[in-house]
Amino acid sequence: MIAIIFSLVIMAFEAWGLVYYFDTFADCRLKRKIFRFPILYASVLIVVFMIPKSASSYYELVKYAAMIALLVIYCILVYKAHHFQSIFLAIMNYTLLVMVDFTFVWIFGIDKNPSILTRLTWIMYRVVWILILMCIRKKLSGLKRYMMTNSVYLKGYIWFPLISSLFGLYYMGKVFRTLETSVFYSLISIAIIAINIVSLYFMLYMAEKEEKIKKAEFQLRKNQNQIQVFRDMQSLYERQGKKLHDYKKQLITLRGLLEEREVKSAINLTNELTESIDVEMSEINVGHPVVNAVLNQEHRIARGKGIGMIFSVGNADNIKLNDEEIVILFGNLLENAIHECEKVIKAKGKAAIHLKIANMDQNTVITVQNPILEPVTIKEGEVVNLRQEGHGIGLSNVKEVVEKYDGSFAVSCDEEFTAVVII
Amino acid sequence: MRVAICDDDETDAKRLRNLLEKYDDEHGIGFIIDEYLSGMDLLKFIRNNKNVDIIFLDINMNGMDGLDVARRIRKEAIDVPIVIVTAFINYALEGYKVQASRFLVKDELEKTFTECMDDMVRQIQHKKMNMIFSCVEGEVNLSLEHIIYIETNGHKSIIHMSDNTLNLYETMEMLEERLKNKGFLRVHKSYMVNMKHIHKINNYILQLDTGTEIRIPKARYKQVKQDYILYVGRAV
Repeated sequence: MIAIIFSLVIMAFEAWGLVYYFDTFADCRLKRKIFRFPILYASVLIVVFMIPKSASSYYELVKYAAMIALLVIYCILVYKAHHFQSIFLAIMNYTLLVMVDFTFVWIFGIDKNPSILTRLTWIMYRVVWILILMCIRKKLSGLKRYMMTNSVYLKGYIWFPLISSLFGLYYMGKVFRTLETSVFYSLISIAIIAINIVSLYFMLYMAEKEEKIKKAEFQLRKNQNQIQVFRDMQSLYERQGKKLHDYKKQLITLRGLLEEREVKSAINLTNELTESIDVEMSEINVGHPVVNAVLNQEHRIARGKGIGMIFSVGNADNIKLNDEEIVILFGNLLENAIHECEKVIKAKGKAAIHLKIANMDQNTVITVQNPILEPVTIKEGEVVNLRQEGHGIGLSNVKEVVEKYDGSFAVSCDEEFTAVVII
Repeated sequence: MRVAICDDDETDAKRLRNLLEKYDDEHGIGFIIDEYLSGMDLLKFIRNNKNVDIIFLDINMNGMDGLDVARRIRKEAIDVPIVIVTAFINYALEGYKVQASRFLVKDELEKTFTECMDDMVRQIQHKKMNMIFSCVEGEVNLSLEHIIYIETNGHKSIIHMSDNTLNLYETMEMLEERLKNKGFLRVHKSYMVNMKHIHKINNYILQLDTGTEIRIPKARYKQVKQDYILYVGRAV
């Protein structure tokens, strides 16, 4: 009876700690988060009592494998984690628990007929484990954000928990077969715990570094845009200067016509001049000042490079993005298109970008299509092998903006390159 | 394909005609091109003969302007694609409000015309697309846009239209090959849907505009969503 009560208490500690670890790195998908502990506790009890207890050392191995499987399924169902994330978190989570347990087991050994004091020390091992988890949460909670948005990081780090668990399985078999104690193996357990924690630190460090690089690139792009704006303004002033010079000449001609009483010719010339000024001054207007500014700027750049633009643009005044995000989204999409069109123009002589902005069911659909010289590879909805030119980063910035608003982003490359954003 | 050009400037109209003829020579579409110097003439023609496939419309015309013409065409529920061609880019949004398909700037016409026509011709051909299916009921010539979805049932496939169903002995793989790039999407090993009739995709459930729901397997979900997003982006 006492053994059962202690087992239930120990399993409660374990379930609580496992949930605590999952909460550190993943968001719960349940509406009533309070159920996540009882669900896991009940599942652990079922698994433990389903596996027939035997004296064989393989009992612990089977229990270990079953618990990992249970935790993977639990993580997938209860947390907003992909399969890979769930496997990573589940293996690392349970391996940490097992390794902490082993650290003490290797020092104090296994008591086949444990007293109450021994059972209390087993609870103490769990307390130590929970304290370690609390330290992990305090220092590494920032990792949650990166893990939830990008499982690419995990693929490089899955080896840490996997190899740790293999070590764990080996030593588990050894300790339960031989019942010996060893400070050396205890130190190995500590080393494995440390390696896993260090790997988490490393992941966080790399993720933060990558974010800083992205921010720096974004700032660089912003500065480049600013420089481009100034260059644009400069060329606009130069163009206006030339136009004013032309208009001055036209006005002199007009004066000449009026002096010679050639009224009809004077009227025709005035009409031509007026139309020319209207064309020069006309700009895209989609109902949003920042969208207008970006589109007009990119259109001017495209025109300057001999690239045409086809428009199917609706009202963008209800677009959900803030000013910076609008610049990132439209700026990156159109810059990529312009860059590709430049290559096409060199090879084929002409190119045009097709820009669509449409409203659909309270969403804004933005499509940019452009011809390409060489098809690019699209893998899992992302362009590969463009990082060295900076364009992969541009599209990944677009993707981040879209994901922030729970929107959709897709790219394809067959006869032409198509990028679609629904936001 | 019948194309109407409406522009009171004969030079601009001729320029557009030349571009159309050049495009026709390169692609062998078979255009019949009509020119109208005023919006009223165009409207008169359309009312009497609604068999126009594309209209190229200038905005700044004497009398009735192009936007007014487009509004009247839409008011009479005529669904013909309209391409606005103008020197003034600030009319882009106005063009959208009259459901113009495209908006081209006159002084970029030579650069944009081919891309625009490729897209328009593709859309028009796609809309008119018919295919012959060997059904249990016999050979049937179906307009693809009326097919809602196709499902397999044992060795047979069932084509679901808005008002009836047809059975045929083609496998889903054969149908997928035939209907590839024609607006159909394989969402399940037993289901293929016409993307035009998708109402929404959410939480692994695809809902058609008829109310039918199809569960999408997790393994296909991401790709199905991607393909649908691309379809929506191209179709708007």
